[in-house]
Amino acid sequence: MSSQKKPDRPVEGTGPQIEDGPRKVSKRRNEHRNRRRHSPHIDGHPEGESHTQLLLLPDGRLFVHNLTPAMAQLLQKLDPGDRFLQQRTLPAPAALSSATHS
Amino acid sequence: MIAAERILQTGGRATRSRTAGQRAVAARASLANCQLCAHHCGVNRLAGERGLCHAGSAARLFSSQVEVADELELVPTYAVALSGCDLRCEFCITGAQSWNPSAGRSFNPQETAAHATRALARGARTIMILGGEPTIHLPEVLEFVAALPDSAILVWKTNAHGSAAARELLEGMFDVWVADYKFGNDTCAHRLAKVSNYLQVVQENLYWANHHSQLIVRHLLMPGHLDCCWRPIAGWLARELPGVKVSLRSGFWPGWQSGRHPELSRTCTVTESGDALGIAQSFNLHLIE
Repeated sequence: MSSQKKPDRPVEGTGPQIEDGPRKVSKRRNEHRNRRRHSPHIDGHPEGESHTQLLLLPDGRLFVHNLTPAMAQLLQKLDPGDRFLQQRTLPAPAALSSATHS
Repeated sequence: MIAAERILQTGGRATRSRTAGQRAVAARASLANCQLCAHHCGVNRLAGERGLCHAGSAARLFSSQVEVADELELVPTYAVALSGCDLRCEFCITGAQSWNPSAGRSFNPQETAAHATRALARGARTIMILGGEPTIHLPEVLEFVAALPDSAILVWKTNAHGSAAARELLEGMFDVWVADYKFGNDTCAHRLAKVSNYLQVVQENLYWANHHSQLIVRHLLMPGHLDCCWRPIAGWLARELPGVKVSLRSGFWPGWQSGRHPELSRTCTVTESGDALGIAQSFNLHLIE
């Protein structure tokens, strides 16, 4: 199975690093949805939505899953110095950004 | 750079799309005695029988959108995720969809191919098909490939638990294989994903994929599994597939049924991630971002 098949890797540089050793994760799981009322099938999603899941840890680390260009751009504005986001926003052409960001 | 190794003979003979269309028919017929994954259930999915993956004869889709978090050389990618899987990884972040082939909506290969083609025109670099596990839906996958431009760069994202029959149908269809190598031993594989003979099957698939396409081996670092899983995987890759691209993902997310396993109830620590990187470097692996 492609479990954890999407990258869902931590976004680096978004806060203090987690302490070593086991600890409970306080999950604040958010599902981001961009509705595209005017072009509901622009990326093939039936409801005209794109989805990114975020996991924000108490120490400030942020994990992402199914990162869309629009969400990458948003997060990059929040943390312009983050290398992972810089790499993921630079190659995204403007047309793609608009395609997932009605 | 991605260099396509595919069926693309322009002299009026086989093109990828044409070959995919022909193979789709064969793949559909093979569901009468399903041998697509290494479980080799042999059930007749066309007659309503269900094997370990519980998939029927029609694929369903739970996500299709442009994404940018995969490997840099692949993004932006138009990612098409099909419901259902032949493994039962209890830490699966998409467990609700991956364990349930009925999740999502019906998959129309031609319609989705049109959306994917439009995404390419807008700047997407690749088209990626994943799951769940797409191997169990090879008939529709091949219909999807048949409806795509021959010039499209296609990425096959797999758990590397497919059968030889599946590989035969896949040959020349995908430019890049992104293959998970999840467990470094059969004990962890059986305990966490209820799969037997994992190492042999995965390694067989990786050898094949490395020979027949561009291969990226992806490992999701699991908390508490550096020495039992990542270290032996790194060693095997260095020894058996030297120079292969390796994508080490440290963003383990304690989702789905991870709570059944105490060590998987948290994310990886910074120390674990650093140690994992050190292991990769000690084996001189070709890490990619």
